[in-house]
Amino acid sequence: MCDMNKNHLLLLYFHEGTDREEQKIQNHVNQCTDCQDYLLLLDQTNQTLYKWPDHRPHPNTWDLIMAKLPEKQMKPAVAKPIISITPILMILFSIVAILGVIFLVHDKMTLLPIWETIKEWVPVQFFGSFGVAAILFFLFGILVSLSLAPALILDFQSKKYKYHYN
Amino acid sequence: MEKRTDKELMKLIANKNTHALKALYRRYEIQIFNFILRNTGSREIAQELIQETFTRIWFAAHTFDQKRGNFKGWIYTIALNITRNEMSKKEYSYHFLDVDEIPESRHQDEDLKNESPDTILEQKERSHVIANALGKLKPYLREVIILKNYQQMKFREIAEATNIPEGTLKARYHRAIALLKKYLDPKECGGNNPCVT
Repeated sequence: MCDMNKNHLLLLYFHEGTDREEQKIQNHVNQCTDCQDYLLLLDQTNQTLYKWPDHRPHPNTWDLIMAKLPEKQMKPAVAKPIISITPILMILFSIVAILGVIFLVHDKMTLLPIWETIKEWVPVQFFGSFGVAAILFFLFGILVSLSLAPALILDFQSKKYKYHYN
Repeated sequence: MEKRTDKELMKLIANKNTHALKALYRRYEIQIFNFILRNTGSREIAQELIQETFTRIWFAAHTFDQKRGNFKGWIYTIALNITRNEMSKKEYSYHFLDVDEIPESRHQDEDLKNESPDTILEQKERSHVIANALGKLKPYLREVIILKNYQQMKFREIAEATNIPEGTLKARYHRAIALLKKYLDPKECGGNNPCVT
């Protein structure tokens, strides 16, 4: 009786060993009738088992699976990226646009005859011409927002209920 | 969706994407269904358990470790646990499929379309004999044979899915093969009719 570990024959039969291992086992098998018989048995049994073909589940199985999933959990299909590039680009564009406007204001402001007097003031010396232009720009922005605020509030109030019922 | 890998689909399923679950179902329905069918021997139970398997995949998708990775092992672990659980609940006598119960297979549709009723019956009888032989095995032996032979898994993968050492699995495989030889042997079937032609 052959003393070869039968597990090695499984390695050979299912090609789960390395080339070297399989070659070594194959060399042994070539000279061993016991191992050849066992491989034959494995092969015959496996060939027989494969005669039981695959079957398909019933066509409505998927619908039954869907019926078991709670509706609340069926959420949107699209996986969102962690960082979206669009808002970043929009923010960059806004910053560039604001700086451009401030630069323009600063450019025009320094051409005014009154600037010669104003530039001697301490706060103006502290902030510089560009700083002053920026402050003027933001003050103008605040002024515009405040002047539009009542109209925006009224508009929001009138649409509030509409949103609610929609 | 069909072109995505199993791991990508699992990531989407964890985010509750039903399209991804459907794609995964289409990819594995036949394998999982037949795995359960061959383990339980009942089409009706296999039909029920495949639903449970995919429902559990839906709920447990977030527990799948993308880095550790072997998806095939993971899905079979789920199917195996559900099958074992079901079988432990009921006292199965392994009343495997009767010839008439054996459903039309996809191969039968293609290969046996033009065959005579005799050939079709012969095919069904063959399936029946194999089902009976598998049914006579102890569940832990049958599992190894099914995972190895029908699901084409490596012993390493089966060890991962079942959490049983490879050496033990191989020993069980040898034991199962010896028993199947006996059960599939014409002399063991009684009479002059061979078990499998």
